[in-house]
Amino acid sequence: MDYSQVVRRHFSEPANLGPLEPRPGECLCRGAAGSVAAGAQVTIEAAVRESQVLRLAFRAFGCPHLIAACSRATELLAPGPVAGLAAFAPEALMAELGVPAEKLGSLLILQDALRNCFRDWDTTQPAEAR
Amino acid sequence: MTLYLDYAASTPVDPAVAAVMAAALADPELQGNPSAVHAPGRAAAARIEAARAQVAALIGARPAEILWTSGATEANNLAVLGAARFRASRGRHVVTSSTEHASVVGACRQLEREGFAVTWLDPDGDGLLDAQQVAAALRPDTTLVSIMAVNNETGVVQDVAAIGAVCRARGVLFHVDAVQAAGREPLDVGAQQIDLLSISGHKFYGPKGAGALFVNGRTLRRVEPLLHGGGQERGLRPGTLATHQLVGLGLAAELAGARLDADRRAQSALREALWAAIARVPGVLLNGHRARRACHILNVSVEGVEGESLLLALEALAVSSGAACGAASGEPSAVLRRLGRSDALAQASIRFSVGRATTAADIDAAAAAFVAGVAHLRRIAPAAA
Repeated sequence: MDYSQVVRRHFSEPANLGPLEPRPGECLCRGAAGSVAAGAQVTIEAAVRESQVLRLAFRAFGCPHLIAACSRATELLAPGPVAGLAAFAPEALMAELGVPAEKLGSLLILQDALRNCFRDWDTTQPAEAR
Repeated sequence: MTLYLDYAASTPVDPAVAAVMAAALADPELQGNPSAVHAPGRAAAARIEAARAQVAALIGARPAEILWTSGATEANNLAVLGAARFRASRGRHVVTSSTEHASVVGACRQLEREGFAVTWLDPDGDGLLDAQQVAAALRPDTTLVSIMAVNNETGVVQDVAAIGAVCRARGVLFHVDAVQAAGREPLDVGAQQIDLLSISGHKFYGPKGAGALFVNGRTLRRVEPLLHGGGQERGLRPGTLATHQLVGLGLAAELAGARLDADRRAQSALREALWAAIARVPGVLLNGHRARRACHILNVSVEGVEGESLLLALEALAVSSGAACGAASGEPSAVLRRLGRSDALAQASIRFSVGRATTAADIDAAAAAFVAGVAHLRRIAPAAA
């Protein structure tokens, strides 16, 4: 399998590896998706304050494209609005990273983990904290 | 610079073999068709017959029992299809194992499509077959048993002589895929009671595209050819013989025989050193029997890492993930699944294979790369993975 230079860089030196330690005033939200048995698993942690993701971290079990996509997504989505976690779509990343179409399934695991992280924030945070 | 540890997939051509092949290609006296009766043809034929004797000597056969093929895939197909089809009027049952090379599995699947029954024996968790398993699978209509000597993925060595004895006692032909064994394990078609045996030149420092099928004297005229044409190779494998390829294959076989003991000792020590170094990493599992293995192959599965990422993390090493023939599919190794490994562990497997040029320093470098690569992936993986 050929990998793009950007995939190789994120694979060798992934950005924003978890775990995150929340700082005062931040809430820590988590999302996970996939499984080792299924060949891909992603966990996402977001440090959120006032509806803003201040820091984002990941851990991933999967192919190099998935690891690179997780790493790049954490760079793109933090800092940023927490709604961005739910709105993430893998297609733009696939083009940027040169991910082949048959790997879309892996990147959907990342999408699920980000959505679950948003859902964790959405369901556990009182309205006044948003 | 990539460190080559994939000698089970292919070996580099021995310089002496390359030299004799180049000389044969350039020699104006060897340009005739080896089937021709004139002097240039006879000169080429003489060199080919010398090579036939060299190959025969490696496996304890007579030169007349060696048929040239394009490689092991053709040899395995000719053995399995040719022997089974020839005996179809006597019986249409074949016994093989579920961990054979794809070229034997594929030939047996073809027999199934032609209406033959095939019994697929499963090895135990160490990859071993018991001769009694083979005996129990034989039926009155069984005509052929095909079992490999050394598994190409795990390196596990089967007790070929015991299986040969069972087959001979029951009057069933015994084919051995000896592709990984030739030049690495002692082979004696007489003592091991083998009727058909396949080898491939590029697995023992000879050329690619050249192989051979041993067919014992009693079986020679009882194999149906796959190809039809001229009468070369007793009509069993028609086609103009490639003089330079076969001269190279012959010398490679002679060198493999001469170096067998020394190569085995050296490569076993290197393989053990590699295992000792990487077995210290938690969650590294040896695939296949601990002791009954060929000198050159070490196959491990790694817990908590994904196979494709493991290969990229080990990019400095030329190794195989499962079998080179099947890795392109991305599917977990069927051989390792048969040994009881999960999909994830079968996929996260690495086959290291050492060879004549491998050094102790190479083993140290490979072990260091492996330890670092696994640690890197485990840092990235979720805690529970």
